Amino acid sequence: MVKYILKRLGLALIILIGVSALIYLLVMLMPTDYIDNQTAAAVQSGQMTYEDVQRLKELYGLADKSFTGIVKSYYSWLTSAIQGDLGFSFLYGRPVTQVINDYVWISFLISLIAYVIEIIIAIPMGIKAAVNQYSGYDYTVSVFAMMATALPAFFLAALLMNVFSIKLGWFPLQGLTTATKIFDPNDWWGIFLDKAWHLVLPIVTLTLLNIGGLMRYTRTNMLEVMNSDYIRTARAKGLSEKTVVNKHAFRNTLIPLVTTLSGMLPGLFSGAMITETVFSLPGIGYMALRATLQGDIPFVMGYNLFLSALTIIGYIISDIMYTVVDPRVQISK
Amino acid sequence: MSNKENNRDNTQYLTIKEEKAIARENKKIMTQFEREKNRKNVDESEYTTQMRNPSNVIEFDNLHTYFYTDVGVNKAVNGVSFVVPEGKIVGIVGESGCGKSVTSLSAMQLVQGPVGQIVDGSIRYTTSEGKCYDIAKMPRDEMRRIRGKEISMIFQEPMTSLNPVFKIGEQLDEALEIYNENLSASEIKARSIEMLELVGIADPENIYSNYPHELSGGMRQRVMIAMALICEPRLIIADEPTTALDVTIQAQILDLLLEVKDSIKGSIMLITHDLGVIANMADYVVVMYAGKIVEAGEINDIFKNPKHPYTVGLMRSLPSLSNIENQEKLFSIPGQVPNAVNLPDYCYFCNRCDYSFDACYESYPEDILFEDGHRAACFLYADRFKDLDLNRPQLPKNIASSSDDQFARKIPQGRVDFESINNPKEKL
Repeated sequence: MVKYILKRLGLALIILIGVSALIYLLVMLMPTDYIDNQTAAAVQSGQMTYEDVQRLKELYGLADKSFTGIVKSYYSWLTSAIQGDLGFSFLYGRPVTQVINDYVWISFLISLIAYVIEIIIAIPMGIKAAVNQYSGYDYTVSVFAMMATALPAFFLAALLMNVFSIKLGWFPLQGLTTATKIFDPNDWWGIFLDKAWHLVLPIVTLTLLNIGGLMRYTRTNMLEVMNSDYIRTARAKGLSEKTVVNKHAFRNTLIPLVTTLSGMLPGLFSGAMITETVFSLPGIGYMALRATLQGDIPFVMGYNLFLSALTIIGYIISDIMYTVVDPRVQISK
Repeated sequence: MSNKENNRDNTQYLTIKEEKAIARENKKIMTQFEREKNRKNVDESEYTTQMRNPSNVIEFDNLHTYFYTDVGVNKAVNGVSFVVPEGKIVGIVGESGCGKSVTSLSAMQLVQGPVGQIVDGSIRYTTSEGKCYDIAKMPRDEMRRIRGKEISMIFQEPMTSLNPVFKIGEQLDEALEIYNENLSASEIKARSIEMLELVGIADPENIYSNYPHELSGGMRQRVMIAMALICEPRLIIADEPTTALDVTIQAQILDLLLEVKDSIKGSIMLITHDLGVIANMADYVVVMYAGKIVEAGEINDIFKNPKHPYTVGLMRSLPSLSNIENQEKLFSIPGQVPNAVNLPDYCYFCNRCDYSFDACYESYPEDILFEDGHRAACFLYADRFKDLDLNRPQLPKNIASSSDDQFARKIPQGRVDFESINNPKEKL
């Protein structure tokens, strides 16, 4: 088992290097860069000359956009990255790792709460819909779940903001803290409540967006299991319908569910770019979007590397979970 | 003649309108049946009846089980009546798609709902407490108490019939726990292990804590049998228990079934399409075709003196050594079982039958009774056609001439692929 995990992690390292090379190439090929963005206004008003801009670019290491130049700068990025130094963010003026560490936790918190609520609501709903296939309940739940899933994140968020904060005024519109209030730093309960109050709508948005998919996934898998021979055997034994569904069927449905859901766990750190942006939450997704728009190469590189690592870890967790929930699966090497 | 062609061309196309009408009709009927079955606190008198003959374990009377599919009503079981006497083995034979399995699933109320429903008829069963119930009318909650303890079932697919995520022991214990709440966990375990031993598993303690995927097909079928017998049911339904197993294991499993049947004093309903198995095991034989019984009777009557052309066809299609000696091809009944959605209103078999005559295309034949309860549904034996010079089916000499003992042995167990022996090149 340990050997298997080590092997997978070794492979992951190779994948990460490949991914980083690809992203680096793409970012460097963007038509504008950080310096262009920052100096555009000054150049237009004549405060800076073209030469000034070029000098700045050289300083930032963005001047040479030829292939060899990109390879050279990628090599220097890679050598420091391997040593754990992802560089300084142009935009935020701090080490990339520090920026990620500062903003990732709020994103994780939102995603985690939404994830837990999703599971609590969607799985029982999916099971009930599968057991009563083609019933009124099945159709109603499926239609509403699919409607919520089909809505774009920004639209659903705007809709919720309009109804619950602008019209009804129950929740704050944006941000993480009430700017007009001054809290005593020792009043941690008040600060906590204020933040929680701000997070309600983003969490609701994320939950609604994902609930449909998970519910349908549960339903499909449950239906497949319910039609299998061993469910008939369980019924033939004389077990009650409740035991058949909750023990025999659900335990088998858990195999795809647990592996998928555990694979999603690392992804909770990746941030919800659109939702965070619409609600102006200082999460990692929001910061990454701003950095990307500005051409902040070190941060974009660092963030994408972080995402790739999370995805790979997700797959590894998911594969390991198979051996935990399914007795038929065993790791041989 | 035109009838004949119509029947052969069973595929038909539905317009959207017709499809919608079918779906609407099905929905209405299915909801009604489901509501009926899901009722709670039903008065017992509603499903209590009387057995016709108290020495029978179960009596199927005019059973109709239909499937309400998108292309129409599939009459999988269409008026089936037979009985299983106490302590006897009744074999049910027929081609695939004849309604054998659906008949047995009906007796357990395990027909896949809401599409499949017992529409008409009754299944009378006397419990070990002496109460006689009509299974066709029992509400779902009550039916649960019959399953496992009174009637249990061995399924045809041992590879998929055990739950892959639970240990063998857990699955056995569970079956026992339902009806023996006063037993302690260790007593239950001891009983499960004893049961595994009874079905001939060499190392029961180890197997008890194995997962199904760690066992071979034959072992799994033994476990299935142990599970079916653990509550000592009065009726065991074995639905093609040996079909998925190889020939050497088949014989062992069948011997085992016979042995344990005697040790728990049960009766067996044995479903198979292997006449060799029937010849070795059964006391009575029921031959089914397209959801109806075409011939039924005692084993000797059926095997020595088959009446219905379908039964004769089945016998003739058994491979025997004389086939090789005489260099003749193995007989097979031409054509296929008709689609049960659009059944004709005359004999279902006549278009595949070499002996059919005008009357066969006019109405469905009634049961003709012979001596000792032997019956066949065929016009060839009807009194009103007695005087006609009809060609009646005969068993080939090599089968008919064999005596009782030889007969059972002449039928090889399992299926031998004779095509490949005769023409090895063609097969390639």
